[in-house]
Amino acid sequence: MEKISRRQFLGMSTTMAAGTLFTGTFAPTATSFFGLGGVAEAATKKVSPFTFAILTDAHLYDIADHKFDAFLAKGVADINAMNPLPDFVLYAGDIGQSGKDSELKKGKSILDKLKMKYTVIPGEHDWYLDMGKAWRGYFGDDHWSFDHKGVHFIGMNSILVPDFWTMAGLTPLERMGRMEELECHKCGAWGVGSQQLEWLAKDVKNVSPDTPVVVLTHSPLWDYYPRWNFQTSDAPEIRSILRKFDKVIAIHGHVHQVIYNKLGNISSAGLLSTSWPWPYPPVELPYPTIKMNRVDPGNFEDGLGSHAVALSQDFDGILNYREFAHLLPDNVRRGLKL
Amino acid sequence: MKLAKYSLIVGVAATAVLAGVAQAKDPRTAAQADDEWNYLMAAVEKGDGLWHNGKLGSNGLACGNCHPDGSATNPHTWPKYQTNLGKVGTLRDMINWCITVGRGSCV
Repeated sequence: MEKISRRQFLGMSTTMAAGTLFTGTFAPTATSFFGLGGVAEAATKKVSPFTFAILTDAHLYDIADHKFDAFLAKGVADINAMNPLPDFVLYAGDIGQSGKDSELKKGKSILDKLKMKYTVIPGEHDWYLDMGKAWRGYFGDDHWSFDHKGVHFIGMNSILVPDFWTMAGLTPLERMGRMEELECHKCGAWGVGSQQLEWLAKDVKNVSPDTPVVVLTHSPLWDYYPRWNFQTSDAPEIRSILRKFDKVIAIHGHVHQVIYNKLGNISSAGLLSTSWPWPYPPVELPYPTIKMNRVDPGNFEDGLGSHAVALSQDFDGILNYREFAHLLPDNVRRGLKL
Repeated sequence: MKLAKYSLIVGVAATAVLAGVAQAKDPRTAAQADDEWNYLMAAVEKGDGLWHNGKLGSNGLACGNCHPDGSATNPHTWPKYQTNLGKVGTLRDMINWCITVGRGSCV
């Protein structure tokens, strides 16, 4: 009998599960069933097909020649070697680990080696030492929008928590330390906040519903696992503002893993980091699951990667996880339909 | 009659409460109890620090980076053969490997 590795076996079982998965994915969701979400498949405006790349979660340390520097550089080199080159690169937050100027500066110097323009949003690790001061100095606005070849791109800062530090008398360093813990229970649930909600409503007010929209946030726009802030507290408001569009592709960092969900008109996908992978939440969750395999702790590149998203004329998106090692089951490796 | 029945219930209840109090009496003095609590909480704080502050390893990473809530440590599965150890190891072996060779080190 031919020997089969554990990983091959996992790959096979996920491939076999794919049939069920896609049925589940494209079946009407509860919200669309009740007419709250799913807009009928209308003809969206035509896109002039193109590809963009994404990197996220480098978590750079203020230590010279740290291995995470090399992993981010590897992601940059991978994107620079794509043929054809992507039109631009998005970065989904957490360039630094502890929000230090030196970390962000190092990150910028590595990202500056990209051959094409890149646009960044912040993660919590970039922010809570000086409340985004250094980050803004290097990368500008924490929320933005632009149009490219018929697609409206939106980026938002989704990691804003209510003040938990003043009453507790925490120093900026202590505040940052708390926020660095994924399971920090004293920090609370984060979101984009009322100002960005107003900005978003205004931003899309005059954008016609048949416009293809891509939205980038650090955290998912749905309640995946709030205990680890795998959520955005005002995601329901964001989804409500974006509901008028025929189709929205939402992409997020923060989770360091392959994850996908569809909510009405929104396809949501998570990204691999260039630092360390996270396990799936240690509880049974009822969501559609497209999963990466368990990580080999002996291979530091396992679970890391860069990404490319190809958009077709009809705004069909394919997300390619460009893994550094061999983490993905075949169905995910072929690309995730967005 | 009704009064007698009522006082019986009150009497039984009172006895139960007194017995309970006698049973729950802390054998420690208040100072001893404080000591125990303070030592315990100091240990909890030290453990939380070691888990999160990255001082166990040499490259800034902490156990908590990759194992939020202790996830993906699978303590119940050890001892077992682990590829990166190259032998049947214990959870303690794996933790030491993480700190000295694995993601917690500068390799």
